[in-house]
Amino acid sequence: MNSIASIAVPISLVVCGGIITYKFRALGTILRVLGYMLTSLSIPFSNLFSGLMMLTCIATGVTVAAYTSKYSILKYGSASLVLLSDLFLISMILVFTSQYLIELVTFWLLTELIGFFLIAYDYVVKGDTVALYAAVKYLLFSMIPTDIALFIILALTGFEEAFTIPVKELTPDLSNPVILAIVIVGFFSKAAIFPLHFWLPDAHSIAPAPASALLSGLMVKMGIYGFYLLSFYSIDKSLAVSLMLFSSFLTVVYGALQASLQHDIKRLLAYSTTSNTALITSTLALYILSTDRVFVEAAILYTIAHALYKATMFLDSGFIELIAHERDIRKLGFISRVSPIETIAVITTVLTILGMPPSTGFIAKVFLFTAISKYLDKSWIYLATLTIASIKVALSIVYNVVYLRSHYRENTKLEDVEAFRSNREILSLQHYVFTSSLSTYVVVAALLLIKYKGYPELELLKKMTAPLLTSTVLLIVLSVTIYLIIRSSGKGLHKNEV
Amino acid sequence: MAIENPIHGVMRFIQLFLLLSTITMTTYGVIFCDAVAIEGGFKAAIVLLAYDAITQSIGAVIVTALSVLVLLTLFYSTHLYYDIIEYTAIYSMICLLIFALYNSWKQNYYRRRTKVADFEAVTLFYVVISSAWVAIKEGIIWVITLTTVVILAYKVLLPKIKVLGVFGLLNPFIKFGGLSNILSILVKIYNTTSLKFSQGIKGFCKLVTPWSEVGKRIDYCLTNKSIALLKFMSRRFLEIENKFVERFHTISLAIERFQYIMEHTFVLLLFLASIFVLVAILMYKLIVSQ
Repeated sequence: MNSIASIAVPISLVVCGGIITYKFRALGTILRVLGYMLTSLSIPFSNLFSGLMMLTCIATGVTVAAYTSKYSILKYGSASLVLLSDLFLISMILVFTSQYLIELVTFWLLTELIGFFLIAYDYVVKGDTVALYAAVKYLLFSMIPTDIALFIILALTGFEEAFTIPVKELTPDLSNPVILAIVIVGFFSKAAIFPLHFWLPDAHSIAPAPASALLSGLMVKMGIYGFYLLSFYSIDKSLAVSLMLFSSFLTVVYGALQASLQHDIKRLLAYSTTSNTALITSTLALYILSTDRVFVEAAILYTIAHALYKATMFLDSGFIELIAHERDIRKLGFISRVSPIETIAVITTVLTILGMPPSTGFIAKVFLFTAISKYLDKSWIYLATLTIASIKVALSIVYNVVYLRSHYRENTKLEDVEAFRSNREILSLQHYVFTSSLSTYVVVAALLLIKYKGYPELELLKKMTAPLLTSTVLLIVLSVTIYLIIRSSGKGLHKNEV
Repeated sequence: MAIENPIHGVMRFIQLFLLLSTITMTTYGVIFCDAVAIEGGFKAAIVLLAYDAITQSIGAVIVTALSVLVLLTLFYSTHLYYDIIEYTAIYSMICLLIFALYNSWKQNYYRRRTKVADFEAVTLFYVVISSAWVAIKEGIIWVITLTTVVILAYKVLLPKIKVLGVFGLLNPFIKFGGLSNILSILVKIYNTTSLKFSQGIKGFCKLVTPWSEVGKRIDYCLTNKSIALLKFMSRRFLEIENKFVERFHTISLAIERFQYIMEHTFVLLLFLASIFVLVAILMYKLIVSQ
């Protein structure tokens, strides 16, 4: 009863906040943020994957909440997007907290359905048929295959067991290779992995920016969660590992290469998502192969790092779209002159995913590579994964730099910086993006705190405590200095104006 | 004092932060023989390389990405050959070479030798040496000795013997003017020796062109030809790079077209499959169940 109340009260707060936002934006936003923060009280400490996924949802929810209300008013003239995105996030939180299969299936379908409306949002509001096309593509290539996979598991489990036995303790008979392949391909489609990856670039680039942040940062991770659940069931391990590794290796390289070649900022981010989720999938495949928990820890930490990174990047893309009315990198390159804070936020976010300490990206990368290198002498598969992961890191440098070209580029001519700067309403979005870029450090602090409380298995994180704390102290000093620089810069500008 | 653009200020501080983090983690790892901390230091060093690439051209970014790929693969392969000292030696030599190349290129790119760049280079060497030798029992002694040797070589010895030094040799291949410097030094050596030699055999030297003149001509031909060759190679390289990018875009477009066809085929198959299922259900209801 208590557990129901602990989740029902915050959800009610979020929903009420979403409704109030229509009339009183500030009050509504406060209620929503409070609701998301209260949800953290119901994080299940007994379950590492679900608990940390919930933590990520909350962190993303808090940072996206305020941005969404402002963005929705600026782009669509009303706060109608707020409630839809909140419902989407709540249903996703409920997916990760589901104890029984029936709950999981119900909330999974609900999330997918709201996701469909989020992608088709521009069609609903403005009649944009491209949005509808992307949404239908998502319906056909993401929703249907995943639902087939879920219903197969449900059918093999039995209706009564789906209500009474916890989802991890179920014993669906997935020994038939054809059925197993269908289920795996179903989850591939949700995680946007080859051969069902192509819906993602369209869907995530068409959806409104906050929705893309949630879709790309969190919803694709439901596919990863599906693979994680599969690891508990009796399956043909060699078939599952072969399928997962083959497809994910292809997608890692293909997604990263495509991202490096894109000119549209949102498509670039969307392709990088396919690459990242594929890398996480390959990590989970190694877990199925080795049964070493360190791979799950690496996968979940990488999931968190990617979700937070993608949330900030998509919020930034929304800002760029609103202020410049342009998404083509070749025609941009002046954002740093319009909004230096935005550029600083994006640079720090890019550095965090590349592994800057003490961010989640740093922990994730160390976990990932340590886990793989631990087994290098066992099989060539680990060596292949190490090579693919290294290629991924190398290519991620390329596409992130390409993305940063939208912020600054030498010889970019911009005569009318002041005209952009005068749009103060849009410029105010930069503060939300900056706050979002800092969320990764907050999550690291939370991880270090809860490590002692609920996750004794995070042994590697314990070993990393001393270096992490040192770099945290250094970062605090750095942040204070940055603040002083920005302040002194502001004063300087003010003096010049006078 | 107001700073003109806060981004530059922030970026300088991020660089400093990355440098300090790298040193702190690596030193912690060296003192306590902690592999995870060493790994953390190495990771931070990789981010430092990536950070340097942020403000550079795409070509430079690709070079950085390739360097990172080699470094990561080598570093984590050490786990496979942990006890083999030859591998560790090869690993450290390749990493040092990559960092040296990279640093040398960067200094030429910016046309100045900044103290931060020097500090960064020394930090990267320190990370490589630490990561290579910490696994050995006398890790700390090795790290201290090698770091001292490398820093001494980098700061004191190499600038004085440019022709023999790795860094001196690397410069001319990156900057065209550098080649003439080396050749000038070579010609100087040649001239000095030839003059000294010619003093002893006067009769013979009167008959032929003075050796110093030959040297100058060789120098003239070599320098100009080499510069022309390097410029030609550079231009060719740029053309090849452009062709490669164009080809890549064509492939990318072809893949997207294939993807488009695949989507439509998939929809058609889904449609056919659903009709088939419907027909099957109808058949079952009408024929089999009766």
